[in-house]
Amino acid sequence: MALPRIDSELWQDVLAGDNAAWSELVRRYQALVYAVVTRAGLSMADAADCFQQTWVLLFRHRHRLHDPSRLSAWLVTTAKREALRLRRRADRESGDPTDMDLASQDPLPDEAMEQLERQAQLEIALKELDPRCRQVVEAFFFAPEDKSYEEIALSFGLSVNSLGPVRRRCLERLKQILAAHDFADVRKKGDDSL
Amino acid sequence: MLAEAAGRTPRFSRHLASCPDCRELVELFRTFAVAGNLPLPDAPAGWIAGAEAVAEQRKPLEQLKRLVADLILDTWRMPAPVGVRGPGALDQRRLRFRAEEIEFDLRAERRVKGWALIAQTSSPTGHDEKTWLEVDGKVHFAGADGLYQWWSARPPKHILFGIGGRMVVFPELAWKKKRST
Repeated sequence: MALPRIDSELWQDVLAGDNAAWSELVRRYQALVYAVVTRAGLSMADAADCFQQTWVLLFRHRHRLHDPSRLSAWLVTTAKREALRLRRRADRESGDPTDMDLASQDPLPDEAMEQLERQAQLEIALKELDPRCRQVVEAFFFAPEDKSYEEIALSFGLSVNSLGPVRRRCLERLKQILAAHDFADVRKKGDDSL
Repeated sequence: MLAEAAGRTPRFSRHLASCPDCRELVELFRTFAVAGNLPLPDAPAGWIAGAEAVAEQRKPLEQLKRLVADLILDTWRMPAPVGVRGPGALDQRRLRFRAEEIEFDLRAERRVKGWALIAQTSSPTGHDEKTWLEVDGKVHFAGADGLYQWWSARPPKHILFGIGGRMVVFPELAWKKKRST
């Protein structure tokens, strides 16, 4: 199976006017932007505005994004900035001193934003696994109950001896996808150059 | 979550001790600090469609056919009957525009701290995810009911409407009006 198109490749196509590449990037990162704007304590109307405005700003300033491998960090930074701006505006308009106190606390601390970014990156990689591999990984790490190794093997119609190589192959594949996306180093900071 | 349970469940700890792949994967997931957090929910479909449409809406202007909208109705220009010429008449305004077969209705209502606005278009192609409304630089998309609704501290001045590869340019709107006498 071919490796997925990484952000830098998609970004080149976006710059060349390829709307399909833009849509793919939106679909790839929409959950991340959504997670940021819905954690900011905004009304749903303001959250929708913030979500939209984040994408508008990215597209409007697309020729100034120097390092597209930092796209996720840029989106988080921009969504957070827009969310805080809308939050301050909403609090000013409400004139409620309780809201003002809340606004002085950062509802989107950097550490939480970094975790969201890492989470989104892992989910992107998981989605790019073939369905069977994804099921194997999810069975091992996201199963709601603590299934035994034998039970997991049985659920895939495999012998216990066969499950090991399948799991190993899926793990290798996941690592390849993460590396291809340059997600292994997820501690890059947001590109504030825009 | 097995990753969460890794350090707590004796059975899983024993399994990890004999499974280098599993240890590696647990470490990987710990690196991403996501155990217990997956998955992130998707944004509402309409929000995603709106974000996807941004590229369409921002196409170079030369790729869009430009239409200039004509103002065909403005309630502030209509003579008001005796008895309804008070200041309240300035708190609401309805504007109607036409560009080729596209008609566009805008209603504005003054509120305590700004304006509530609602717009709809009537066109053979109707509204879909590819239609957009830009008001003073801010983009709006229609809700499921086909209505564009927003709130603004100031009344709208510059409006663009994109539909099916065309961009409708509206005349600049003025919001100063002498009260009827």
